[in-house]
Amino acid sequence: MSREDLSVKIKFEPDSDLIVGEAPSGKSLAIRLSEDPSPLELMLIALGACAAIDAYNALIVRGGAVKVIEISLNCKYVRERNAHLDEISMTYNIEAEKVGRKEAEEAIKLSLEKYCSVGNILRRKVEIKPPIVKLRKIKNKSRGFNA
Amino acid sequence: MILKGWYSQNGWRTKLILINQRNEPVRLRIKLFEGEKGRLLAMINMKLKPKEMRFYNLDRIKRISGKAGVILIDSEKPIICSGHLVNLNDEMKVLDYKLVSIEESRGCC
Repeated sequence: MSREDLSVKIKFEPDSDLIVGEAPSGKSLAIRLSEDPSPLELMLIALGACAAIDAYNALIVRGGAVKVIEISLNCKYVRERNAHLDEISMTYNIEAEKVGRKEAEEAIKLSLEKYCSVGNILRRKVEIKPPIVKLRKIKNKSRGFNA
Repeated sequence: MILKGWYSQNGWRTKLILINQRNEPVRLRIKLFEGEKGRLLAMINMKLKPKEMRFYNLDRIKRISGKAGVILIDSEKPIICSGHLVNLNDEMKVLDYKLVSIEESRGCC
């Protein structure tokens, strides 16, 4: 196990309604509070983006050709004094070829549990339900066998 | 784990040797592609019994006759697999190799 430092810098200018986050790589993200997603929404977007990249990697390594991955995230937001997220459910809509539905489901479940860093951080506090995977095959003329 | 190798039914005959060293059954999925990045020609679901060694002759799959390409094996637990290729014109020409394990990419961040 190796530990690495990861630090980001946030600058909030209330007068200009602007939050700028700067990553160690020097890349930055500007958020206008009135126009852009809220920090909580951004956290879900980060989870979805991380999960999408991991799903893509999991399918590609199994010989799949992926065209689109769409993930819908739904969470229960508990509005009380200590507002928090209760559970997150994820539905994947994938357009791909050279990959079976069950195979995609297994690969994505594994990638979400094993590799998704954002998911692993959130899972300590929030229940992330097993993903629902819907696969739309582009074309696949292969036949399956059971040996 | 994912294992990667090469089969040829084009001038060669390929046999896979699958070994489950564990004391529990292992489910696996074998995918056979046309060439390096071509079509998926066949997918075989298999279950190996504890300590089982199975010989699987790819002659059984008509869709890959005359074809050669990549084999990918997706196994829920570690297994050993080797490929045994015999030249059809000269049966003294034989290739034996072990399928290599390929690393899954580790996260986006």
